[in-house]
Amino acid sequence: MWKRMAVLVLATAFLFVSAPLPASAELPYRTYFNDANSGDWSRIQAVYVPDRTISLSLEEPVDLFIGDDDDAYVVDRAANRIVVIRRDGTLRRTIGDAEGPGALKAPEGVFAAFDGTVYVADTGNERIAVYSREGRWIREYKKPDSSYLPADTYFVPSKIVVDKRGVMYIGISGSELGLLRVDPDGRFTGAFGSNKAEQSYSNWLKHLILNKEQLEKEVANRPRAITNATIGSDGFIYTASAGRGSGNIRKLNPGGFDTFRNKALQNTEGIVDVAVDREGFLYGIDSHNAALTLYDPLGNALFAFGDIDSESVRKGVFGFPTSLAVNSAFEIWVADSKLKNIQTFKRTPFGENVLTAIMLFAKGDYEKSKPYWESVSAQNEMFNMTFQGLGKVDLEEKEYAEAIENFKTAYDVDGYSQAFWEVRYAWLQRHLAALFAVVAAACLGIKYGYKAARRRVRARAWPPRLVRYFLELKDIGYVLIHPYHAFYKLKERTVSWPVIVAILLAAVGYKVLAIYFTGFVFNPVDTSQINLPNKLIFFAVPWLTWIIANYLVCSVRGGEGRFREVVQSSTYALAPYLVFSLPLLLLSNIVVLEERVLVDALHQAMLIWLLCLFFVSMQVIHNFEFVETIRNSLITAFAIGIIWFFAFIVSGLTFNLYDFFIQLYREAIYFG
Amino acid sequence: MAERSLPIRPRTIGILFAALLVVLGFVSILSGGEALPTPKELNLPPLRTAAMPDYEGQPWQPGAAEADAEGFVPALENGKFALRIHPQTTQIIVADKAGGYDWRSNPPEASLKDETVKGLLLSNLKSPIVLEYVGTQGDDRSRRDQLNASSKELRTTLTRYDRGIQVTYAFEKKRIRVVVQYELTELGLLVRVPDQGIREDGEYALYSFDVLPYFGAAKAGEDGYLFVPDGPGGLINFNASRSSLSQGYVQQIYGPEISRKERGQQPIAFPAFGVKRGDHAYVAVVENGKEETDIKAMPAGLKSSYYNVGASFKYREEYLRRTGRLQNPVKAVETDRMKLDRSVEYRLLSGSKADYVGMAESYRSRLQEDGRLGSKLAPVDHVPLNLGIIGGNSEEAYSRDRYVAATTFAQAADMVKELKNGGVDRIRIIYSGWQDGGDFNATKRFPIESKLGGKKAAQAFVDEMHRLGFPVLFEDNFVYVDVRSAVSAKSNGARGIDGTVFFTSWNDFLLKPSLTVGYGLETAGKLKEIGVDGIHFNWLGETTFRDYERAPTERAETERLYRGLLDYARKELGQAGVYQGNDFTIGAVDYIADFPLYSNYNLIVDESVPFYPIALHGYVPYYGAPGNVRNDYEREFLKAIEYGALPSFVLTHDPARKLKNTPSSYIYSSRFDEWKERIRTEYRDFDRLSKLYDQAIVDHRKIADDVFVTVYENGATVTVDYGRNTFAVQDGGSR
Repeated sequence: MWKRMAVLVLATAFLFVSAPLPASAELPYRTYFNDANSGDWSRIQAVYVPDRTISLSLEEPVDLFIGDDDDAYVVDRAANRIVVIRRDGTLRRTIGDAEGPGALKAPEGVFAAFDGTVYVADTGNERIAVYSREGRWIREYKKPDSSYLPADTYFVPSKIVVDKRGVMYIGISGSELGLLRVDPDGRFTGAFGSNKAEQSYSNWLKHLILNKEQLEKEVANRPRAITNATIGSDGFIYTASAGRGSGNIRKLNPGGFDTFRNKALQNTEGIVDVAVDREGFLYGIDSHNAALTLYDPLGNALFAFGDIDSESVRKGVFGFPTSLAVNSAFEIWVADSKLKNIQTFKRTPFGENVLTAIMLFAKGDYEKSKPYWESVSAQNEMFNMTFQGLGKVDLEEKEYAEAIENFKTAYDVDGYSQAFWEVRYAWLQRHLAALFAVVAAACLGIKYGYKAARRRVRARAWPPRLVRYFLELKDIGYVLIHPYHAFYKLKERTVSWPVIVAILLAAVGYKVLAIYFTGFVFNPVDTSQINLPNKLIFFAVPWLTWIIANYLVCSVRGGEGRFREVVQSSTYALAPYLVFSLPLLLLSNIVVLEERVLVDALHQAMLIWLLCLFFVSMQVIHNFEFVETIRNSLITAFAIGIIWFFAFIVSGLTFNLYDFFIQLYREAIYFG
Repeated sequence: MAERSLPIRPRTIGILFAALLVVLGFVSILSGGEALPTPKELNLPPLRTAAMPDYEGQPWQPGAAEADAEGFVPALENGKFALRIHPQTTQIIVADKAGGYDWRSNPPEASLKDETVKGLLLSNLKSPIVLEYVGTQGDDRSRRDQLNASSKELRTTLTRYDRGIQVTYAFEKKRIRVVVQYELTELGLLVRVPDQGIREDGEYALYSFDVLPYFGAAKAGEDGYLFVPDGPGGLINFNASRSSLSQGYVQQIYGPEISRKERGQQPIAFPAFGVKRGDHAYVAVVENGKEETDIKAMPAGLKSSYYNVGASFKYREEYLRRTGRLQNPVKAVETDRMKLDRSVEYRLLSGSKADYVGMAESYRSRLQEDGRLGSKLAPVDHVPLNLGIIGGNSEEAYSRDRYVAATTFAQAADMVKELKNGGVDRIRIIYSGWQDGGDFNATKRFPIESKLGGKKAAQAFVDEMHRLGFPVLFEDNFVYVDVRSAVSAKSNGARGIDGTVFFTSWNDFLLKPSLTVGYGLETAGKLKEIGVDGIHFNWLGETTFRDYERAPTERAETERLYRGLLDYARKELGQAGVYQGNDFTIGAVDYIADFPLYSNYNLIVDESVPFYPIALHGYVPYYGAPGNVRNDYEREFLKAIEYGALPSFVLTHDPARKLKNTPSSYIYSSRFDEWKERIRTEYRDFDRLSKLYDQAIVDHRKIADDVFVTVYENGATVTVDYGRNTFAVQDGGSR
């Protein structure tokens, strides 16, 4: 009965901290915003609140359309009529309930053109009925006579959209043809905007394996029907088609091309209807996630609220929503055939501010959006998009330092990078000479300082143990450049444990540094919320399993390396990580997004180097041929996979066992 | 060796033994010092147990000669009212002699001709009682069904006793017996259902009992409304067009059983409902057993063509019982009956009093008669602002709990001083998040969080506020316990209906009420040391629950203990405050925060009216949602003005965003610098009503679309215009 919103699942991270709130006048639903940069949904104060409930003895409202004059047209299917409702919720007139040629029979769709002409998808009469603004019957369109229309097509129009030229786009119940395009003279001019059949891997696999008879028994993979359609003020036609996958809301240009390019919009799996306001913002109602969702003109989800419950007793909770529409004041009207009413929602002052700000932001009017963002920020400091918006304003105002802070707060890498480029440019301009001087001085200093230090170090007598450690550490550099030689050398002797531990600790240390101090462009997260042990486990596990797998595989395959040698060489093979980490860390802090390739390339190089070293270490330690090494490496990789797989299975099983004991414990403790 | 060690051994043992004694002594001293106080220290009077007598005696057989045309016979009469009863149907008619109006328990037979419903629904409509029973054995186990006064197996007996008349309903097959007693009072009708009159001798058990469900029922289109206790009070008009609902308004007084709390639905705060028909009205107040009573209101078209409202007494609770981890839970019904007496008082109103204002006034005098409302507030020169200050809260960062300070005591003092200089003349400070490490640990509050300045700074802050003349309350929660607290859920957690400790979805459990009192007393003692003027008790004003131990703690007992704790805090420290303010806290609190001013968005409720505000204004100060956490700043401000609420804000010194990862993240904006201007202007606006602080509301009405007038005792009126976003205060001469 209660379909949990998917957003709720996403928001559980927030739920566990949202301790009991003081009981105050709470809305029957919660409002969530979607943070585009992190992809998280989190709670926010209401942007829309329930306003009016209009019942007007409606028997079965199945479709709703709001005209340019803000009159709402409701299809009351069971009562065979169209009910026209003024913006204040009072009845203006009814259409089609009088005897005569204009009498409707179980209609399902309605559309009012800009001149006030009312088109009704008169489903029961298999026609489109047309009425004047005053509700006088004008004419009807029956099934168009066309050879292009498949003969077995039933003309049961259920939805209708009419463009500025009077061309009708007719949705047929359950049809996979898309919308039928019929010109004002009643001629069929082609099917429009049909969905494509979904291509999935399972289908591909079925075609590969199954024979003809078996394939015939499978449910045919047909294109989805269009459940609802609407037209925007810019002439684009928006279609809603429920189902898994993408393209559930499409924005079709007059050529039938989807300008959303089959994008997967959030909260559309059970999409019932879509509406578009004059600014191009989309409003969808989704039965699967039980939510009303607002999208920006590009189809990015912004806010979600509302709920569906067939036993609904409260405003803002739908019984069985059938259609929605938005009027010029951005009020949302939702028709509900279970509650037999229309519920309207109006923007809160906060909603007004935030949606205006986002609208201006989407248009690129950053300067104009500033006061709106400021009042949004005064009312909600938790809303990340504010900082993104203000960051853009800062960019325009050339306040780059503020912009950096704002973009960082919003986790907006793109904006951050732009602002950072400016800051870096200014800094370089000012300090270029100084920078050169410093670099030159450093080079000289290192050159002479190194020599002097070496001289001094050599002059002293060191304890033999320290000398040994030093020499062992020095081999790290040697491994990098002459891996074969170095590993042979290593194989011949035993490296002291402290050095191995020191190298491993250094690697972990670098990892910790990388987690917390990698440049924002590469790591746009709140570092305080990072689960460090978790990250380190995932860092260490591959290395550890490599050692185990390497040793096990190679001892079976006739490798001569002992365990200690494997550990030893695998530790030294980490050399590139030790050497590259710091430069990578530094570089990640000074490059912008466009230069990211530098860091990425270096990172790749390091990885390749690491792989090479592991490979060489294996070959040398176990004294394999080259080809043999390749083979054994692959087997080791496979063994690693197997180890992980078993670890996964075992942990899953033990979790069940653990859960069983926990439940048993709870039962014993809290019941008895 | 062994021989030599022998003489030493007794000494060693002796030393060890002595050491053990010392340790034990220390432990007992320490634990003795830390032992929680018990509710005994409150010296509360004991809870009333079921004690209403069952008047079994000589059956009364009225003579046929006395019957009127419909068959009703006179049964009771006093100066103002007369009660007639129909011996067969047991329907009653209460005549209001002065008002000249007959209140009927059911619609008259004549008007039921065009009724479309049939069968059980129709016979319910003709019955003054509807009983729901549940099978306890075999196939009927947990199956529920209804019985009413037209049941074929029913034997009714009328008995007269000194103050009233008793109707005994004995269902002979189901072997269930219930009695209903009617008495006339100076104000109307008292209906009682004594527990001693209930018998369940067979295989069926009493599930619920609706008494007078159709008392004053009216047809759609009539002039009038049902009154239900939704939020501040809600009306269901007889002549409104309606959405198609599958349920009426069914809500348990003070909220449902803890495990089935509904999101956002504020629990009923006061046990009253009513009907207005034309120039006549009644308000019914549930008294005995109100905690286990549903208020049921049905719109026309759902169960019959009548609008009706009534009390439905719950005797057992239905729940989902898990029989195993893999099986689906099965519906089950409690085995034991809640052994509670029940009573409802119907107060009949007519003329100018026959509306929701009259109902509220009648309810107010009811509170006064019970001695719960206390005396009138003293007049003030300026209204008191409730200033909530969030000290801070705990968040999880770098994989551990960390306290985030948002307002230190020193910063709080600066904020208050700045407000005072800005013209805010009276402030009550409610400081939260002061506990060591944040407010999640139910067992560890002290020392006061060091990041805020610790005890010293707290002391200095309280002293400074006292110099300014402002009281300081500390907020605390003694009800919900976070699992991170070092307190065992098994022995301290309240048990839900299935007998296990109840956990909320955020994994908190509810402390047993006696422990709530214990921690409350302990904390009050320690706060007294630094001179705090009171405690704001989170959850005491909006919570009550039955603890399903083997010997259950009834909801009434929970309320009694909570009230005792509030009383104690007032005596010991000076003030006590709660949220929401369920009416069992009235008289034990100095103010109510987050008072219900708004409806719960129920589709069935057409209008919100200030019933509860009218009942309390002038006696208990109340506050709406804080000014910075409203959905609609202007409208909710005007609502507070219309309903006579006082200004409140909840603030931090630092940006609210600091608390983003803490449980306080639902307060989206609270930075002092952002809000101080708004506080000043809003305070000035509220202060225009300062002369009305101690005045009762005597009238409230809608004079135009979006325009409402509230009239006070001294004649002053407050007119609020939502269309133009303005309000006007007109003085009503001297007071």
